[in-house]
Amino acid sequence: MSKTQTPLLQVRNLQTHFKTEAGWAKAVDGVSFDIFQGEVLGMVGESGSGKSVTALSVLRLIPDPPGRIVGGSVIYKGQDLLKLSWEDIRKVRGNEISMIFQEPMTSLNPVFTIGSQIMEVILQHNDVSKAEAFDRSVKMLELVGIPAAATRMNDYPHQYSGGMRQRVMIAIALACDPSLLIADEPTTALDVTIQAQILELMLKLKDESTDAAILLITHNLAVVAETCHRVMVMYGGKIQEIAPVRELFKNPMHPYTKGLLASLPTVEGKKLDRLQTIPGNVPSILDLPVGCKFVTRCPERLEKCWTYEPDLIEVSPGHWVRCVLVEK
Amino acid sequence: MPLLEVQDLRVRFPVTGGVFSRKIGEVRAVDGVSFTLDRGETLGVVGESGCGKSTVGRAVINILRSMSHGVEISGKVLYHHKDGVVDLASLSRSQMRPYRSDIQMIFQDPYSSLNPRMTVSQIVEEPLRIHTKDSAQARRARVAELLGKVGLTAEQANRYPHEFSGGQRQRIGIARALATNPQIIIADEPVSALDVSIQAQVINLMQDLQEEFQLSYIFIAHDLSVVRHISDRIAVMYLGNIVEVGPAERIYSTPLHPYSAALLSAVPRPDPDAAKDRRIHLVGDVPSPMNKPSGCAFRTRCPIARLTCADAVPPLEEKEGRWVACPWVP
Repeated sequence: MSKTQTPLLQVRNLQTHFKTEAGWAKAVDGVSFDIFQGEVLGMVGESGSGKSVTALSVLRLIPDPPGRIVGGSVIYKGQDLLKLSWEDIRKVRGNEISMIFQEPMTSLNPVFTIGSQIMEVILQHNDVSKAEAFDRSVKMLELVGIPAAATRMNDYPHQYSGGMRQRVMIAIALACDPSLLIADEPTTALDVTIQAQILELMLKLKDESTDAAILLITHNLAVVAETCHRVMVMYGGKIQEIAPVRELFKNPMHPYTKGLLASLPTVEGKKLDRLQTIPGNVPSILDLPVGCKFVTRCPERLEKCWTYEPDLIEVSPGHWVRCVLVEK
Repeated sequence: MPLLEVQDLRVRFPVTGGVFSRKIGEVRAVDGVSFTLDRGETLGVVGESGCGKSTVGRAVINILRSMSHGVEISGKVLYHHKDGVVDLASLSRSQMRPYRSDIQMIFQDPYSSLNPRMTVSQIVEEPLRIHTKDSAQARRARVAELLGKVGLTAEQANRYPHEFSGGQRQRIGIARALATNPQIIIADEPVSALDVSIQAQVINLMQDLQEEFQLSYIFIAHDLSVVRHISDRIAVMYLGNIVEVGPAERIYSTPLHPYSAALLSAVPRPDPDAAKDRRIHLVGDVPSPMNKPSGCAFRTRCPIARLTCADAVPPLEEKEGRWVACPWVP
């Protein structure tokens, strides 16, 4: 991955708001980032941090109402996805950019066979016959490691285990050879041995395609450490820190990132008597502070943090932090 | 003497089908499980979905017969209380009642385990109304004390669950479990629905309360790093059997059973430089508990399985300071 190349996807000042009875909730509030070819970019954050909404906004999958993308741009291969017509964005979804969701149980339609659901995406985006689509679907199932793929094409989702269903989701997502795969908590619902299988499969398939990139959304920092090249940390609808993965784990700068890393129990190394905690609760996006979004829980806050929100500042190459403590 | 002794616990759920709901099979969810729990100790129970860890917790607290029609339970759950010993598994609902105040439960989902129409003080007070003869005034004082213990304020007592975040709701569930001064708390995935920054708060709270009240925990969870942090001993389950049980640090540093080793190797490490080749790859998925393999249930995925593994369920044997159900490990 080299920084000189043009990014595959450029998100600039993305703003997605939701209308609620209590007013407009700024779920995503000015998010900007790039994804480069061949890269795995991680996005971590807690519930309500805006990570899933960011991903859904990229493909314009936000239900409107109540949600609305109110500003920003998403440049993919020279065109702004937010300005495309409804028909043109459909040509992008599943073809150029695909998505895998958390729940393999609810993302597959229970009344259609596995085979027909993979064929659907191939027939939608390619000018091929049904027989060709069938053959390609079998190949995809083999690729993701489903045994006896040709016969299992005729099975229904309930006949597959959770791990196999997530493999099918990956097969569907990759059937049209997309350039970008957005995976939103792809292994959260799976057991740990299956999680390892699925993550390795995703990385292996990415490496086989020359220009493909992955945006991996997760709350699990350990998954990020093992799979991503760069990471962004979201809190309160904004990116708080973004850095190459080693840099983030070795040298976290934002108090929130530091708190998250310190609160993790581990399976090896010295066992701590007590876990470090981040005090307080995750604030509601309807009730975010005016200044820094983390100020209510920050152990290092200054008086001005209540009213003043800093910009992202580059502290070392590729390492950006939104905190007054790094401001000169 | 241990506080709780579980001996050869077996739980079978019937599988029914057809118009008349005839029994067409059975799921052996727990298939001969034995363990002990000491006073003030935490036993972590780990394993993947379908391994029977939640069923073990529910069998100990004897609520399976109320939850599931036709369930068959055998084996003993011996509870050593101050006046003697009782086999909880043999008790009917009404016979169980006096012991319920001693054994309480904390649930996974802090959203569905609290009645949305009751205020926090009503929720925490309910076990006191059922199990004690305290006056209304004494109950109110106790509720205020309990809420303080779990870090909630007196003003929050008259609010409803929906006004709280997930972590705060879990605190309410913990206060309710503590109300009757229990000896044993069964915590079934108590932090898995919580955000990372909130998990640590709830785990620390559970440890503080354990120290203060000499509580014994059965801590059921799939997150192996959380279990290591809180447990003195752990039991690793696979398809209804314990495959390895012993001191947590021993098993985490040198797991002996091939399943424990594979499970621990699969846990992602929060370190970008962690060696990826440590991983022991298991082939395939967990078999359905309806068609459990004969003999050692793990043999279909085991990297060191031999033909004789199909013959009999291997017994737990003492090796290197823990108990392992595999004859082939050193």
